[in-house]
Amino acid sequence: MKDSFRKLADWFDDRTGARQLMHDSLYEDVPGGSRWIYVSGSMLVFAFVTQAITGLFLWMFYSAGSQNAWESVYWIQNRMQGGWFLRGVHHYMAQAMVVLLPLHLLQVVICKAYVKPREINFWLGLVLMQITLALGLTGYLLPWDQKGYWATKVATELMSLPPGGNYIQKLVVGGSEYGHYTLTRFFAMHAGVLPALLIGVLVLHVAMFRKHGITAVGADRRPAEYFWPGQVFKDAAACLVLMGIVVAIVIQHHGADLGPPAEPTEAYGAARPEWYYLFLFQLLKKFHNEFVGAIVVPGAVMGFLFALPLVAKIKYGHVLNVCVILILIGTAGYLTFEAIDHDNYRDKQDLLTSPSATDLERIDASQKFHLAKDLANQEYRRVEQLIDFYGIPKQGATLGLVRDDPEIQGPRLFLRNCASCHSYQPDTPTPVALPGPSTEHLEHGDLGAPNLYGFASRAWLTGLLNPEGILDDDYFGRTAHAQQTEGSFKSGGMVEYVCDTLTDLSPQQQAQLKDLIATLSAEANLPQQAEDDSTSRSNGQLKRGQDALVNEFSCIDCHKFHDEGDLGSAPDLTGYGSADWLRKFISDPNHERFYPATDPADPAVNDRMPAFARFADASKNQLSNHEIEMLVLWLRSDKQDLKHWEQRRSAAAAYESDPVSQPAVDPP
Amino acid sequence: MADAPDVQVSAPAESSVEPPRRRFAVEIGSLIVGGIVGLFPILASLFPFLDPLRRSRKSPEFYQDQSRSGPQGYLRVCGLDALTVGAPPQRFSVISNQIDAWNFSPQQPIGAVYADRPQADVVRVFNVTCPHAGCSVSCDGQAYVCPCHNSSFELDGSKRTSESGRENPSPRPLDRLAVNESRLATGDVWVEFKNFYPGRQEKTAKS
Repeated sequence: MKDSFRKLADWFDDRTGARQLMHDSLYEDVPGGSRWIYVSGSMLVFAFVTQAITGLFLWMFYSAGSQNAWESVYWIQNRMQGGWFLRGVHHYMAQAMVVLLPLHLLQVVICKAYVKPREINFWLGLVLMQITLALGLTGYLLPWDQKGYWATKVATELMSLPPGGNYIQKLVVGGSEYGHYTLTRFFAMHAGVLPALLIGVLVLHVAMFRKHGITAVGADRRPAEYFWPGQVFKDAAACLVLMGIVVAIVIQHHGADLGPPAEPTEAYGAARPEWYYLFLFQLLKKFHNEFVGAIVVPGAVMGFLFALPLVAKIKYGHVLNVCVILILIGTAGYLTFEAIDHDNYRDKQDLLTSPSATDLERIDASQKFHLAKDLANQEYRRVEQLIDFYGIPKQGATLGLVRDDPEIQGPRLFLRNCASCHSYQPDTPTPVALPGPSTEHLEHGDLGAPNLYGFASRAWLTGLLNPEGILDDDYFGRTAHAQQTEGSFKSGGMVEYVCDTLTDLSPQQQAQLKDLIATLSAEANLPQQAEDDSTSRSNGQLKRGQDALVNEFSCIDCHKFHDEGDLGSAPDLTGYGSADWLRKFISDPNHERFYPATDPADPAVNDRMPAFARFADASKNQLSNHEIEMLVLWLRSDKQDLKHWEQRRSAAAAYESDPVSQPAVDPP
Repeated sequence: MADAPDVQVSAPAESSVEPPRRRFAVEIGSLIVGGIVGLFPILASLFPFLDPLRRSRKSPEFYQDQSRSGPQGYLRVCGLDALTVGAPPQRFSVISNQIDAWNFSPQQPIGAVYADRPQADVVRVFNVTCPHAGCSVSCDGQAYVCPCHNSSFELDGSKRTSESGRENPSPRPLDRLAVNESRLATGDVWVEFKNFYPGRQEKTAKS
């Protein structure tokens, strides 16, 4: 048995020379013996092999294309057994490579392994570093999520800076627009061209390393050894530690992060490159000239690295090189820290006793960064919910799910069109609060309008209909209605009424006001309040409330409410806060039903609210019917129940197709 | 292998200082640790690679609610009145929800059948997939014929011997599908639609 095995081995060796090959690789001389400091190169090879193998398997499940990329990655991450782990290993091992690269460089420079005769091998190493960084850049785009899309967009826009750059950029992106071809190109680069280049250069790098042998440390003090087994053990052990760290991080983070699917029309405010590119990102912020920050300075640094073997020839050149490398690594580390620190500047808000203008700007920017991030997380969770409920249609998650979802479109439209005056601040931790105009740090005058969270709900109306509430920033505090000119409220009949009449109410009046609020709120037909409404209807509260509204508090002196009162002086309370009421209000607040512009000299009747869809011809309007519908559904939504809102969605579709003749009925 | 016995080793003189037992421990350690490290990327990839072997997925919630009320496992092909007694077989698409990796498409054609009605109370339904190599058969009114390798079948699904005596490559008759009797009684043709592995003598349904 042993004999026949030996025969087979001989047969194989005669034809391949495997023994010699194996011997050559294992019995490499290590002058001065094995050392832990030599492990960084082997660790890089191990990391690369891991990337190649896990990458090949990911390839089996990934689909490049703007309607498939995110969707296939989502599937790997969430539905495939162990998919999150595989993707996590590929993601974090890439980061490990980027951490190991400067360590390897540092080792090579400190051990003086870059000087004659190893200059060319040093340069090959720098080329390998460039290829690895390019792999990181191309890989970041492939999931086609918001962060990858926008971060890569910035990185590739910068490619157009040098002369002739717009041609380069077009070739890289695969056209002037980002889409299918961007992904197919990036994927071909990431999985084909760059790994092939890397393998080719790596073979040369290792061959040349073998030719010149290891640059020994302390060879005169310790006995020599072979590569096998001492150094092999140290290398393998170091790789095992690396593996352990990566596995721990992967499990801790449950794989790599995935954002909501890319939306080319929705800029992502928290777009950042991978953390190891943050120093370049921060560097760019330091220079007012992008060309200098993105190309000249990094180019000069790279040029200097290439010149290290030449610098070493001069007196004290080596010492200089070591110092420069340390300074470069230190600077990159500091810039990375600074970038992260600036993104989290809002945490310092309470610590800074006298914040400077720069501090305030940074806090503001940091708050915007975190708002965008929180919103992206909220969107991702919502997309998860949508996928569980509807599945992913062929046209992809963005077109098939996200564009028609009010919970995602609502906040986006609100931030774009409403947040310059209104805020949306829930009293609960979720959903994400959307800030209105900032008054704390920046002067915007007294511009502002009510907080629309829970608009027309009982709680919202209770806040409005009391003297402290109505003057609060959450209600009319920052509107023209609350501005006093010459002792009287400027067009502020409502504020005056609330402040004068709704103070010092008797217990009986308080109960009547409560009934009134229930009645008015029931007009909105809010889904999350349906139960309360029907209880109040059956126990007669709504009836009492109507009586209070018409008689006791005589709201109908100014407002119309069903058959009572007239239009023309104050908003119609019939159907107040209902979907139809909101649609029409957003479309044209100057309409007779709301704040009619009776006196052109005093437009403040309707404070400053623009008419978003005043014209019958939809192409002239600021917001499309679809967008208004998204806003309305979102403002009135109960945030959770997809089954419930599916019923409302069909009504919304009917309204969108024919807004004029649709009856003003809200489905239950 | 570790000793590389056939090759002359010019060991540096100092290395003999190392005690053999210690060296052996380091060798074993290297092999074990190297093995773990080497296998790691493959092991990390194995579970996702084997994912297609798992059982098939359910439709998303929204489409579960909307699924047509029919007997479990059956799909509607046509109304009974669409089939004339004694007429040649007709081809129908089978409509159901389609799951393609991450994509879900409701109510898509997922396959096709031939159906005919030799007697008023008998309906025969066959899967159009040829049991030989998985091509799609067509019907000329007299017989089912496969365009790929000349398999042919009688209208009752049994293998047909051609007049020239050429061999019929199909290992089994055309795959007949079960028709739901209670639905047939109320005038609808519902079949237990399945695809079967081709090239085998026995009829084994793909899961």
